[in-house]
Amino acid sequence: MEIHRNEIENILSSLKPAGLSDATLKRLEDSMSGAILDLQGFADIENQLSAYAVRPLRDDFLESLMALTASVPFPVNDKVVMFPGTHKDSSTPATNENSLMKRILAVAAVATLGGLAAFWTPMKARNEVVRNDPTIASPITRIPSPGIVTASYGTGIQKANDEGVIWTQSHQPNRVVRVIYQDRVLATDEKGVERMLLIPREELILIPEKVN
Amino acid sequence: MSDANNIETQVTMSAAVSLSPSATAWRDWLTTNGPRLLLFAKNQTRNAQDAEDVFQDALVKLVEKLNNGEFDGGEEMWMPYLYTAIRRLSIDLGRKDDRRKKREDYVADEIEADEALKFDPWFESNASEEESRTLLEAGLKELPTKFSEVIIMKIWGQKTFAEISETLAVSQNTIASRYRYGLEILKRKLIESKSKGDLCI
Repeated sequence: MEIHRNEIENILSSLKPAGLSDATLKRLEDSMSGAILDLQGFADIENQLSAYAVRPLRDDFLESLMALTASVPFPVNDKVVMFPGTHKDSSTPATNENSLMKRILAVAAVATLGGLAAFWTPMKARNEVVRNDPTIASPITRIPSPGIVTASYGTGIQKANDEGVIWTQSHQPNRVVRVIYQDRVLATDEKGVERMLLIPREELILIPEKVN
Repeated sequence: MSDANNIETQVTMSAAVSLSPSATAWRDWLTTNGPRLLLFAKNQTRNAQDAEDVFQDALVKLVEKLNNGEFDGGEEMWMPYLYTAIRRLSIDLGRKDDRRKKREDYVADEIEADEALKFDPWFESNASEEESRTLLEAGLKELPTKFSEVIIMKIWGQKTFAEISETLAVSQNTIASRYRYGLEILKRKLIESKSKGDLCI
């Protein structure tokens, strides 16, 4: 039996689309009114889900990701980057003094010159100076505490003291600067309560001293 | 002199800790954000091993752009970039797998992947609410990806609807709808389990 195109068109025209279900209609109405963004009715389940901590990365996977980032300086801001380098185990002290001195000089140059240059004037060679400089950042501090998620962090130099000059075993004078930072960690616990943790941190930095 | 030696010893130890501030910062960043990104990758790929692969590939892309100076934006743009990269890489991987499966019809692989998904925990155990956690985690894994990815980005990725909308290239209203729908399903599962007596809460 042959069916003409006109007949098919007539049959199709006679069909009516199914009406909107109640759920679809409500969704459309909520979208128009903005009520779709109101999540008050889901607070309980949101809080319950938020309380579950995501499993941390496996150690060997984290190390493989660290290897990818080894040569990339971590940015502090648009103009400042941290000193890159191969990740070192912090429990292993440097054994080669020359290598240690080079690294200390590099760390001092990158991390402190910009912030400390304003401190020093000839009159204040031995005086204590105090300044907050939130633009200078140092290694990000994180509070490892169960149930607490670090939301943000920052650091600033609280104090810089000139401790005087020491002589290394290779008979080179170095001025010792004691820098006290105050790290700020904004942490959110599992109940969503935010707390600002202020953590003092101290670093000793060697700057080679010029000798006539 | 003993004071100078003490200072030198302290300096040695302090310098050793501070030797690589960049590496320390990267480690902290990866420790904080890595689990969220891996969770998103697991949701996209439905396979723990594939998830690590796409996460790593996405990080390689980011590192290449940073090294070449081609990355547009600061550190605050890394997470949106990585979420988008993980999603795209997962889609590409899924297409490759679909083509391979059509050619080879690996039914056994699919069954194995489904079983592996069930036994790969996404969240840390907490003895006090283990039953609920197990139920909700299973529910999350059963949700269609388009619902679960929004829930994961909103709750554990701490993204706003606007940010999720931009990452997934879908309107905010659609994102909000998917979020509500996904939560309704999870809520219903909890209520049903409680009423059946499966949950002791």
